Amino acid sequence: MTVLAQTLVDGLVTAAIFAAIGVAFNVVYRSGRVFNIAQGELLLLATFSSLVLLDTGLSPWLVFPIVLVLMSVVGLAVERFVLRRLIGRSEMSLFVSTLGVLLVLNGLVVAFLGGEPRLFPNVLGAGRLDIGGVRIDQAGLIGTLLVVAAVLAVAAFFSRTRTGLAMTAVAEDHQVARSLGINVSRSMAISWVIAGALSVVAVIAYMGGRTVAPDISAIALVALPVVLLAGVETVAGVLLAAAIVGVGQAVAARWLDPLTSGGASVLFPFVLMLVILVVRPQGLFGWKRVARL
Amino acid sequence: MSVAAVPRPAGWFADSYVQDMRVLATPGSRLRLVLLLVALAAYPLVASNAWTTFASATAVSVITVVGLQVLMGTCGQVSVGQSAFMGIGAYAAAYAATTQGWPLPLAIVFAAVSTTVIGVLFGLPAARIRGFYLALTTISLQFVFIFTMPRLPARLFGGTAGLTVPRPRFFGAAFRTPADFYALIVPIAVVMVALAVAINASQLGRQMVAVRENELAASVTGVRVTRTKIIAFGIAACYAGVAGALGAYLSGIAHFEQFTLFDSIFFLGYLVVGGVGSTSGAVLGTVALCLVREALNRLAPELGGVGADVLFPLINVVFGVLIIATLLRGPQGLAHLVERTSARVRRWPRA
Repeated sequence: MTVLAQTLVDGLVTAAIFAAIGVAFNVVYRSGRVFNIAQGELLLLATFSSLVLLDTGLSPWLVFPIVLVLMSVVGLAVERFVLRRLIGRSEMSLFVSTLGVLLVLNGLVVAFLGGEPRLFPNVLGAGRLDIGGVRIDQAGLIGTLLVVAAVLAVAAFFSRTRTGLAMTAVAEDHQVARSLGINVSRSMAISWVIAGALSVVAVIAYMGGRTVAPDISAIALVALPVVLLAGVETVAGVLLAAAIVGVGQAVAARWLDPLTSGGASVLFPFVLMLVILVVRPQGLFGWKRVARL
Repeated sequence: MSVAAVPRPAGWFADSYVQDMRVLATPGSRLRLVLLLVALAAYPLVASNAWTTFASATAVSVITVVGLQVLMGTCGQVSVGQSAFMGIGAYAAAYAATTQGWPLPLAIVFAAVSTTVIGVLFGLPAARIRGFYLALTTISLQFVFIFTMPRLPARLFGGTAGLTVPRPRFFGAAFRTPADFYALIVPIAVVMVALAVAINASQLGRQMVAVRENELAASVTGVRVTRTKIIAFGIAACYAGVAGALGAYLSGIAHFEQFTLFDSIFFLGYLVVGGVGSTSGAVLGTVALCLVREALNRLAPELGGVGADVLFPLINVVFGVLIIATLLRGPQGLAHLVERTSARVRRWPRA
């Protein structure tokens, strides 16, 4: 029983970062029809720029706001110099352009912010709670709550504010959105700033006490099954999907990995993704689209 | 009946539909092809060993990217898993050559067949979906490949060490020099490229274009959309399989770390920069960007320690910028640029 509860808790902590990254994907997709494969590189940039700033001895209270500003600037730059000029182009063009962004960001981070594996300082404290034999890291708990709060805030923005609702229309069709008086490029810009901010939240919530290297960008790709399970258009639904994938992965790691030399837990999200694609491609909460001629 | 186009004072004109559809319609284009083949044949005689090996490696990439062009350019399906298919081909060939001891041609055919089968199986669910979702499945294939290969029985697939591939023998003679490998790989690449041109020009190719432009409209005009997409997947996988097999022979090893998501992204980049619309774009983009990469790789040691540390990641930056610049400035890619320039040269000195 304790083992099961512990697995559940571990799974939920991993689920937090999946949720943050997954929501970032969805926000960019539903407000611009852009499948942003560079999301992992946003996370990478946020992580390593935080590291470099923390190295200078600045207080974390100062560092993360600075990184937040930096990420917003990067998001705005991507919109201004790349996506704005591609408005109305095919989904494939938009996707390929984010591949270019991925390569540029990855190269710049590795070249100038360091490509070596490093330990990320424990910004949220190293304390531990013990509830009936189940260990809960203080950092994991705070981080998870932080992510849940951030995701709910973004969900509220999309469902409760006029701007958020208008941005949803952009995912449908750039031209239609424009004819309704919605500013497509502003919608994209806002979504990229949100994606950058969520990356910073993910860094604060998850990276403390872990070894980080340029390959952490792959976390974003592991978060893709979460996005798919939830459906690409939902925001709050990502929380539930992330919990399912996070706990599923923890269960696989606990009971199946010993039998498969560590293969089950890394493969679980991707196998799940392929199964979802066959069974229910629009996910749990996605929009079912009707094709018209 | 004359099959060739007819010369007129203002140029060559086709006077039937069959002539108009010919890939090599004019004597000039046929002459250029012959010159190109002669140059390819003469290349290893003049090039150094390093450049010959570079050309062989580039030819391997050309095969992969040309296959990707059929899937992405002609049929309009995004794939970020091309290097995983290449890896499957490499492992298949290595398995056939080492564990089974099969000869070279059989190993390559085995790699082609097994990747095609996997590509078609994979295309079955993928054919139902598009855009965003399709990119997701191909990414997941990439990860399934990377995570699965080192965990398969090491006796058969080499585990974390990968599979070493013996030097190939052909009619009893062992491959020794880079020129031997060149003589194996480049002719196969030429045939594969010619086949891709034929596929694109065929009825199947036109059906793929229909699917790319509008699936619903295509199905209304009688194109079997799902079947066409699955075939496109199979073709791309088959090309990647052959390329992977040849690459495994060339490098002497099949190892899962040679086939990462980044490699898939690079292949996509080669294609986009060259121009997704045509086989010539795929070839042009691959050759051009492989040259850029080689130039930067050779420049790095000259700069010493710190310079090299910065330069290698900067290759990614250069490629990323090239991809974005192509999308923004000339989405039809290098192929279109070359076409326009040569048309301008032909017209010179008139406007």
